[in-house]
Amino acid sequence: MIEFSHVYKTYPGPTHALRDVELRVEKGEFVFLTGPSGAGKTTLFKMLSAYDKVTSGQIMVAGFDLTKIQEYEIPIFRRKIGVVFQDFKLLKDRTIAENVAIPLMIRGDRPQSIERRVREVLDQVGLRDRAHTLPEFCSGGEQQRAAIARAIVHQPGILIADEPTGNLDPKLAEEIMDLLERLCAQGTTVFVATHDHELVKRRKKRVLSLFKGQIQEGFL
Amino acid sequence: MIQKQLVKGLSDNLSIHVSSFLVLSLSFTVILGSLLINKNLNVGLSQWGSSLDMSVYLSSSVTPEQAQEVRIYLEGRSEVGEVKYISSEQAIETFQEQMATYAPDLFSDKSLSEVIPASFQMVLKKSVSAIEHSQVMAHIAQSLQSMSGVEDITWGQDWVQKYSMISRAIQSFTWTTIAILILGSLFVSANSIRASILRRREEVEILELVGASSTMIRTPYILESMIIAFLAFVASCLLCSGVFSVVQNQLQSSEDLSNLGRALVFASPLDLVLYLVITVGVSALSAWWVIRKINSGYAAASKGQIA
Repeated sequence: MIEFSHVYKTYPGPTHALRDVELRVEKGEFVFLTGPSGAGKTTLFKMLSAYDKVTSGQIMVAGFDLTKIQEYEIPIFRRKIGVVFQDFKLLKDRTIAENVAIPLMIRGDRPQSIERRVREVLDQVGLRDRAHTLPEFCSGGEQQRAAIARAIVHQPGILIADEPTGNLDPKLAEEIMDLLERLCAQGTTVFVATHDHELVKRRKKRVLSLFKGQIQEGFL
Repeated sequence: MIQKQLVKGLSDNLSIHVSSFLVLSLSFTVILGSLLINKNLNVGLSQWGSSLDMSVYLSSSVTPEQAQEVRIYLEGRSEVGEVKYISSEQAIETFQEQMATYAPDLFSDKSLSEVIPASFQMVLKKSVSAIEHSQVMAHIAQSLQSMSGVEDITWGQDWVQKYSMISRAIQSFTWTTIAILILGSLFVSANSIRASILRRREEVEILELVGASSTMIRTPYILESMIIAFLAFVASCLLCSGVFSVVQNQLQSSEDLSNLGRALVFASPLDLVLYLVITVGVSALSAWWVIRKINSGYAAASKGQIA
């Protein structure tokens, strides 16, 4: 499902964000990615979501070779995955509900179907009463939940979440993790980056550690 | 989704779009005006050119048979309307009448009959178009030159040649102006859309990241540019139409130029449709060129963010 093969990512400087990364995640797995700040977690997620291109190596995700993907295939690939960005990436001039609806509108779903599904997902993340609010009037935690809702609204095959519980209180964090585990149980591959070691310990899932751009595997 | 983005794009960047509209309106007005000038240059030629007649001067030693041959040739041409023979005596008489006040001594000059020859005066039929007029005249003159008994031929060719030369120079200038203004319009459109896109770059990045296709992202910006161009096109047509009416009325109220005023033509519906397609097409092209540089699939990454 997800396969990294000798992946390097170097930024000008040079800054070696990823060095010879090798990993494999099977369909339906739940994987945590941990590591200190600057280890390369966000960079790895950017490569995984085709946000940016690798310097060398190969990445296979959901049948797409991201190192050789054509420009016209990129939107097709991105519709198959759900991504929760660390900085949320919500459209400032759209309400929470409108932001969440975007993946469905892009897919061409009918308005009634979109409305129903958006309502359902907002209920799941506890944002039903903030549906018609603009992101700038929502707290960090609410924006984060809106980003999660947008990432799962179209029931993607792969969910990539960069610090999805970073701005949430422990109770809400647990609820979100329960939601992600339910998704995983339904067949979605879930890949979560987090600093929260306690959360990782509690959930007892496969753990990949990243340190100075290199992967170290472990299970908790 | 596209409509919402389009409305937002037009309303958010109103000041930029108003500036672009004004500049494009001016450019398009000059372009359309130049096209109208080119179109009506031939009208001028037809107005004055069609009143030209040809004088075929016969030599003093011309025989009746030679004169008859010239007449038969002229009357045999399908383009020729009226052919009139003026004898030497008739020409002298006319000349004396005209010059009596200025040079009365000419009446007594017997050698006048050798200086003023007989001639044929010819005019073409009205069915001959303005464009063909000078060509037909030149062809007839060339044929007559080789005939015996013909001394000289005049048909205002100097005037026509000068008018053609000036006309060609004006056309070259106007086409160069049109080309420069079209390039300028491309630049103005591209700049306007670039400003619009840069203000909403984050939106482009996010839409890319959630899987919006290039068509979904680019269409609102291209439509934005086309709408501004269309409004500028309408404004330029109204402006040119107004100026055209004023000029036409001025000419028609003048005794000498009233025929010219009546003969002037504005752009035809087909001309306007072609002009619309070109102006709106150029704007759409420039918008597409700008947006595709940003909407490459990696808009967010190309901003230079490092994790």
